[in-house]
Amino acid sequence: MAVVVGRPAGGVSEVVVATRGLGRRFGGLQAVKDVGLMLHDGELRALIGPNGAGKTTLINLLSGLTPASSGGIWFRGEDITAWPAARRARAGIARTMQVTAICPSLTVFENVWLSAQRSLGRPPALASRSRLPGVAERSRECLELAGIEAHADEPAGSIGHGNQRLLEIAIALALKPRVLLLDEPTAGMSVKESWEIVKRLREIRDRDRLTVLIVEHDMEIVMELAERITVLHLGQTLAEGSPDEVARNTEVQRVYLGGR
Amino acid sequence: MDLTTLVLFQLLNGLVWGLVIALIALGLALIFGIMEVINVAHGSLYMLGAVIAWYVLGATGSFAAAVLIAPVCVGALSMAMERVVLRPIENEKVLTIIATTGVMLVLQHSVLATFGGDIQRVPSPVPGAVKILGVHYPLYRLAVAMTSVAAIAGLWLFLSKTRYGLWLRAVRQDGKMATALGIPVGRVYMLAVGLGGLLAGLGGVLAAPIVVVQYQMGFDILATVFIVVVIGGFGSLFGAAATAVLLGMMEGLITVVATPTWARIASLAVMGAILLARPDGIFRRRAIAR
Amino acid sequence: MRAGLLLLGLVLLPAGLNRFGHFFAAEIFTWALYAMGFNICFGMAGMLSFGHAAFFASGAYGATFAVLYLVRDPWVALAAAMVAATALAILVGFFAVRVVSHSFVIITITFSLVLLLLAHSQKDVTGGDDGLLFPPLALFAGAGPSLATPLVAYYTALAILAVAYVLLWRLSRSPLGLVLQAVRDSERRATLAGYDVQRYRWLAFVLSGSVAGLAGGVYAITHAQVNAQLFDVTVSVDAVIWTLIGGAGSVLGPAIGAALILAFTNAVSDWIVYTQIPVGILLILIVIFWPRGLSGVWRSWSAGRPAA
Repeated sequence: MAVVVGRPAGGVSEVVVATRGLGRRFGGLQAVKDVGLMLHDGELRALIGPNGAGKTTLINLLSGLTPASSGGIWFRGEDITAWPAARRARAGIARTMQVTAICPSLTVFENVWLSAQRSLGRPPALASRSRLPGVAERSRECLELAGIEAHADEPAGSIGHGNQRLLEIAIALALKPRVLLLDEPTAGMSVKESWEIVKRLREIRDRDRLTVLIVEHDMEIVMELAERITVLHLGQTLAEGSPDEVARNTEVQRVYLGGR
Repeated sequence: MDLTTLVLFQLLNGLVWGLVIALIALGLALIFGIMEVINVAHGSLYMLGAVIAWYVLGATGSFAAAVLIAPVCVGALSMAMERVVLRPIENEKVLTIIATTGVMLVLQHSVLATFGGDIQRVPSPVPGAVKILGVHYPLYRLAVAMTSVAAIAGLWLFLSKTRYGLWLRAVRQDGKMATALGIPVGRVYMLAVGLGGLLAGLGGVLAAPIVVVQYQMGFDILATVFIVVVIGGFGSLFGAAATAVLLGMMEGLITVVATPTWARIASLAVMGAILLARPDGIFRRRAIAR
Repeated sequence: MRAGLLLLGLVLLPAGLNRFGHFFAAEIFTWALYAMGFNICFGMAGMLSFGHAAFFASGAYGATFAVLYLVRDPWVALAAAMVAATALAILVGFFAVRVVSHSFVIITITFSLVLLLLAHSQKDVTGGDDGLLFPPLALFAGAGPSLATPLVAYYTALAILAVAYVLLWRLSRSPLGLVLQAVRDSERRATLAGYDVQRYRWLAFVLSGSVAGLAGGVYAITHAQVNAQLFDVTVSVDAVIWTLIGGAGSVLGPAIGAALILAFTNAVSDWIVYTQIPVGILLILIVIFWPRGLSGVWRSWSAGRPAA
C-alpha cells in the first residue's frame, strides 16, 4: 500500500485524475500493481523510481495506450478505464512519448497543427489549411513555447533528436489539454536545456492551469520543481508526498535516492 | 461413387494438394522467416518448376530427370535473385514486395515469350491406381504425397541436423548475433532463398501432371500460399505446413458438395476470416508483449 | 499554376492527334484516374492494396448494369459506378483496415481474387471473358455527340480527370488530408492527437475505392463494353506499378506514371512484344538504385513539395 505522507499543497482543489487499484500484467510479469494515484487540478507531480519500476507503464495506462488488467481510472469524475487512447486525448489528456512518435515526413509545423486542428472538431475535407488562422496561431504559439519555431518548415524526421523531444511537447500542448503526462521529456538533453524546458512547463502550467505529471530521472530538477512526488518501485507506490517528505523517507532512501 | 467413397476420394485429393501447397508454402515461409521478404515472385518460381520440367521431359523423356533438374534450376535462379535484387534492400517490407513484383513480371513474361501462352499438359509419369481405404486412387498422386512428405522431412533434417541448417536457424533467430558469431549471413540468405525457390520449383514439378502447365499458373496458387503462410504464423514452418494440409483437405471436402470454383471461393473466404480474426497467425510463437 | 498549364495543353492537344491518338489519350486519362484513386489509399494513407482491380471492375460493371437496366445516360452510369465501388469498399474496408501491412496486402488480394473467381463463374451475369456490351451512349442521355467518337471520349475523360484532380488536391491540403498522412506516418502519433486511426483508414480506403470505381465507370461508358478480365490481378498490379514509377508523393504522380508506362508500352509495341519485361526490370532498378525515393514513398507526401 502506498505510504502517503502529508497533504496536497494549496487546500481543496479538484481531483483531476484518480486511479484505484490500477494494475497491469504482461504474461507472468506484474508491471504495475495496485496503484492509487490522485492528481489535483494544477498540480505539478513528479513520478520517480528506479529503472523497471513501471513508470512508463503507468503513463501508458493513464493515456490509454495500454489497457488496464485491473483497477480503474477516473478523469474529472468520469470513469475512463475503458476509453481508448484517442478518446482520452480528445478529452484532454495529452502525453509525450519516451521514444518520440512524430510524423517524419510532415513538417514540424504540420505535426503541431495536427493537434491544434482538434479545435475544429471533425477535420474538414476540402477546406484549405492555409485558411484556418486560429489553428495556425495556436500552432505557432506552441512551437514558440517549446522553443523550436525556427524549425517550423523542416521535415520533422530531419531535425535533431533533442528537437524532436521538444516537438513532442509542442504537439501535446497544442491539444489544449487539461492533463499533461510527460515521459522523460529531458532524456538526452543537456542540464541547461533540461532546466529550461521544465521551467517553461511550470510557466505554462501556471498560465493555463494544467495538471502535469512528469517522469524524470534528474533528482535535482525533481526536488526543485515538483510540488509532490510519487515514488514507484517494482510497480507499486513506494511513497508519496512533498519533496522534503519523500527525501526524508527511509524506504525511498534505501531503494533509490541519490540520482540515476 | 457412393458418398463415403466420394468423400474419401476428395479428402485424399485435398491431402495430396495440401502437401504440394505445403512444399511451396514452406519455401515462402523460409524466405520470409530469414529475410522478412514477402516474395511476390514465389508463384512464378512454382510455375518455372513446372515449365522447366516440361522442357526436360520433352528433351529426355524422363520425369525423374525433371524432378531432379527443375527444382535445382529454380533454386539457382532464386539464389541469383537474392544476390542481385534482394540483398541491397533487405528488410524493408514494402520494397521487397515491389522488387519481387518486378521479378514476377520478368519471369512470367519471359516464359510467355519463350514457352508461349498455350496450355501444355504433362502426362502422368506413374499410371494406374491403387486401392487405398476402399478407394481406387491414382498412384501418381500417392507418389506426389510421399515425395512431398519426404521433401518436408528432408528439410526438417537439414534444418535440425546440419551445420547449414544450424546457421539458418541462428540467422532467423537473431541476425546480428549470428554475424557476431562469425556466421556468413550473406551466404545464409542466399541459401535460404535458394532453398525456398527449390521447394517451390519442386512443387511445380510435382503439380505439373495434376494441373495444366501454363505461364499464369503461378497466380492461381500465389494467394493461397500467401494466406497459408500468414495464417500459419509468418515464418513458422510448422504452421505453414500444417495450415496448408488442413486447408487442402477442407477445400477437398467442400468440392464434394460444390464446384471447384465455389470451393476455392469458400476456402478463400474462410482463410480471409481467420486472417482478420487472428492477424498474427494461429501457430505463431507468442510474441513478446510490448 | 503548373496544373493549369497542363490542363490547357491537354485541352488543345487533340488538334495535333488523329482519331487513334484521341482514343488512346482517353484510355490514359481513365487509367490515370484509377491510379490517382489508388494512391489515396497508398501514398496518402499508407496502405498498400493489391486488390484495387475489384473497385475499378465493379465500377465498370455498375455503370454497365445501369445502362442496360436503368437508363441510357452516361452520367447516371457514372453515379452507379461510384455507388457500386463505394459499397464494396465500405464493406471490405471495414475489415481490411483492422489488419496491418502484410496482412492487409493479403486481404486485399484475397477479396479481389474472390471477385475474379465469381466474375468468371457467373458468366450469365458478367459475360465472363467475352463480357457485356451496349450501344454507345450519347453524351447527354439521348442528345448530344456519341461517346463512341474518340474526341468526345477524350474531352469527357479529361473533364472528369480534371475535376477529380482538383478535389483530390484540395483534400491533400485539407485538415482531413493531414490526418490521413499522419496516420500513414505514425499511427501512434495520430492516436495521441485524438484521431481514431481505424476510422480514418476506413475513410481513406472508401474514398480510394470510390475514385477507382469512377474510373471504371469512365472506362465502361467510353468503351461501351466490359468483361471479367477487368477483375484480374494484373489490373491491381498496374496501379501499384504506375504509382511507384510516377511517384506516390503527389496527387498527380500516379497519373503521370500511368501515362508514361502506357505511352511507353504503346510506343515500343512494334519492337518489344512483351513489354512487361522491361517494366519489371524498371521496377527492380528503381528499388535497387532509388530506394529512398520509394520508402520515401511513405515519406514524401508533404504540403509544399509535390508538383501542383
